[in-house]
Amino acid sequence: MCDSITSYPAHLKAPYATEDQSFRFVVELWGGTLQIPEQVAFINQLEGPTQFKGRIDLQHPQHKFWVIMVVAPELTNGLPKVPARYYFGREVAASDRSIIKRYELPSRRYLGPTSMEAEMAFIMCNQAKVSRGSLVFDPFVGTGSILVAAAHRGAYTFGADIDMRVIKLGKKDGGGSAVNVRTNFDDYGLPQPVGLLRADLHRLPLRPGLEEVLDAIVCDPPYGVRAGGRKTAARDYTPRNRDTHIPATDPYQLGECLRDLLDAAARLLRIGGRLVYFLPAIPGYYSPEEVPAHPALTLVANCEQVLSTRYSRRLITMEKTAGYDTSAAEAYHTASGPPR
Amino acid sequence: MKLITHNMLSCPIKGVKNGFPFRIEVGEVATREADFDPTFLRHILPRIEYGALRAAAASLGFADLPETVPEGATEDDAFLQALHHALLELHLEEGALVCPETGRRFLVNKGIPNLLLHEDEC
Repeated sequence: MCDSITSYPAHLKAPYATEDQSFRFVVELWGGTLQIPEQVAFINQLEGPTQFKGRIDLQHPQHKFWVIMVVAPELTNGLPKVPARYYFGREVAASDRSIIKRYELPSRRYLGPTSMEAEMAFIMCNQAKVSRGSLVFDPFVGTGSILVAAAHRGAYTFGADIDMRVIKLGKKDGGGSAVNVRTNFDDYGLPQPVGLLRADLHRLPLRPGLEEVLDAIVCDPPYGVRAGGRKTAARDYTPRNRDTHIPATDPYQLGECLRDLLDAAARLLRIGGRLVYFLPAIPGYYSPEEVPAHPALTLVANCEQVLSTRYSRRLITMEKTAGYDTSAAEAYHTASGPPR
Repeated sequence: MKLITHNMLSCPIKGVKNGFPFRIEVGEVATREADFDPTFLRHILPRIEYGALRAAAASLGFADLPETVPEGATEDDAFLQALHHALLELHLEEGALVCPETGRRFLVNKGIPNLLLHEDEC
């Protein structure tokens, strides 16, 4: 690594090497720990190759240079094995991992069995490019865990769920006070969703012609592992009192649910807006053709998260790249046959 | 339920052609302050059915929206303030949304409208 730094072109090093600039080194070992004397010994070896003439400032340096060592190929957590390597670079930006701790699920008063873990909810929002002022929709809002992450990013949030117990009633916390999706936003000092609805994605109650209004749709569709999907059911039955009637539901097959989701995204997202969702997959049987497509949407990313030897899920990111064309969408759906 | 939501909804009953806008049956109205964000308002204004918003705001007791969107609306602070109040600060807490075609009432309870259909409406 020292040789690489030495041979790195001088004119590219020069902007950070002058006497008027402060800097520091940070040493990190991936898969182990380094004691302070070992870190110092390592840093001392860098003095020659880098030729930095500036002042060392450990508290507020203008530039931070990282040395990252990977020396533990046996600890891979399911990732591909990597040989021992050294990385050296200047920090241009850093992620704020403290929010993961702040938003971790066990600290929340209102949770469900399928609440999205905080780190993954933030990753989903990053994939969806959620930022200040974005309008973000989750059609399976549940306890609001994805929208909480979006609201932290400064987004306007909008949620729907077929299950009223989740979005309205909530439950009692340990102290006996009522908690629900709204209290999850209040507890973090985040603005409330601009809208919460009890509605069915299969029969989304949005006005015809409402298009290109959302910046992102981020969700975890129900797929029968921990919570099966339901949709409202057509029956030959007229309820006596519509105000109190609880309508019957049918199972909502994953293929049908995803077709509805992609079509809603194709219609409601602005051009450049993103759909981010989880698709279940069985390792060993998965093939990329399983990822549903739509003429208005382009696949941007498809990442596997291994959950167990028998089960994984894939984080799918799609971007709207063409305007919604009803006849093109219908022709596409007809050609691809009934959803599986 | 804020009126930005009302402005996006229509009656999902099968076969309904003119399910927008829902007429509002007012039970309880609340006003809650929200951060004023002119960038968001400029972005959302072209997506809003203005006539429906104005009528809905009036039914909740707010009659300060002009009859039509004024010229130069996106730079008109007084208009943006009124739009902000109508879209994001007025809430229908209790009441119903009534389909203009079928008269079907969808209840709004604790600020959440229930738009699920019944078996004979799908």
